[in-house]
Amino acid sequence: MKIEEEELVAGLKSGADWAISYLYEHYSDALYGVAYRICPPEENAQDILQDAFVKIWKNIRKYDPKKGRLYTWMVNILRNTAIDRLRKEKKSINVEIQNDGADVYSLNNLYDKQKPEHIGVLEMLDKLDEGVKETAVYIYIKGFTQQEVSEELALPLGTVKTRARIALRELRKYFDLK
Amino acid sequence: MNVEEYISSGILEAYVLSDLSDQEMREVQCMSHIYPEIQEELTRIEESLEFFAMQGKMQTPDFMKERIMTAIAETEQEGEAPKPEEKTAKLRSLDEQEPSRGGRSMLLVAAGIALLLISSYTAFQWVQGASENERLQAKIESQKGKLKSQGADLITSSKSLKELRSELEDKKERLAFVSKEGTSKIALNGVPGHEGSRVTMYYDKLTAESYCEINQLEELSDDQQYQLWAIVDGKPISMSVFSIDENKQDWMKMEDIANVQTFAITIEPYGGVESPTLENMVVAGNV
Repeated sequence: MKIEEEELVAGLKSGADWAISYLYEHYSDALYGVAYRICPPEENAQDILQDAFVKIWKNIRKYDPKKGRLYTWMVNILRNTAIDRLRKEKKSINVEIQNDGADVYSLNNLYDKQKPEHIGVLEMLDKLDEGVKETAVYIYIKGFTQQEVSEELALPLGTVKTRARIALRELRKYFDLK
Repeated sequence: MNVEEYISSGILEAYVLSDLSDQEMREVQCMSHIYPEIQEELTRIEESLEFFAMQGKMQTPDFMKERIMTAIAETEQEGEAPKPEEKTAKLRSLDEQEPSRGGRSMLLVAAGIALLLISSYTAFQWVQGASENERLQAKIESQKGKLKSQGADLITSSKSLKELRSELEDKKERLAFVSKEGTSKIALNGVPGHEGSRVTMYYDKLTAESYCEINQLEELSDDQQYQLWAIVDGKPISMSVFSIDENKQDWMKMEDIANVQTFAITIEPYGGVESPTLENMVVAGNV
């Protein structure tokens, strides 16, 4: 059974057990993946996932569907939690970038090549132009803001925005989304 | 404003990632209300990112669920609880019959059983009423006990979860159609000689969609079938020819026909006929 997002949100807002359970079953693996890619290793990702779920639960009544989809709202909470954690871990995000950020090929460590769906992501990314790929990895996988990418790669913000957009467009094409 | 340019500037991607100042966030929100193309593009971007994340799933270790659920149980939700609206009321009552966190599959089975048990006809009768939800909820309450004992049997029965799910989907669709505004319920009562027969049509005049619900029809001999007619401008149009047997479907989607004044069912030779035999009419009802 697929529960409609509207029903799920209503359930969460009313504090129903089934709703948080459904939410967990549906989204924990995706969110865990995002957390891990922003701030490995797994122990970190687990703490981040827990903190994010607690925040989601606590604040769900403030979520306004008119402003965007539930997943988007959740992943932004998770991303902020993960980046805060990363900052604490590394003192500053710049250190992180200098350490391994420039190496987009460390992606291979972040995705499991045994998994067909992960291979899809890697293949898709490999089809992108190098510059677009680099930007996409920073923004969509490692969770950096456009501004941070612009500073790190010494690119005009406009270029980063354009590349971020091209990457998503290619993603849709590649996976045959409308 | 040039909407195309705005969309291709990359600001929407940044908006979806909350990667803008508060003022810019409000600006995009405002734009998305004014320009539907912007709203559509935002939705596409959100869906892409969601899809992307789903591709990058990692298996959460099993112990995490308990850890997180415990943390959540200790956390108060902020803000005011919403007033239970229709949907929440229904779903919550389903939830309450699930005393433990038995996991999603148990919940699904329970929800499936609940909807199956409150079988179509009665459920729809209540849905028509004004205080439909209270009644539905009360009924679900009273089914709790039965559910608990029957639940185990059903789970082990031959019906797979998948089948239950698809049945549940069907029921949800039915419920959605019969309870939506614009759908009229037309009782087709038995004509003299067929007093025991009863059929209900659900008909949306605007969209011309209709569903037929068989409440009570006698079985016919093998060379006969029932034929459903829609009377439009005084002329009968054949909608369906069907039999009643043990596999009978009690709920059928009908062809869309506009401006129907009357629905009627006749008994006809197997395969149906061009125009109805009036003396063989079984049930009829006016829209």
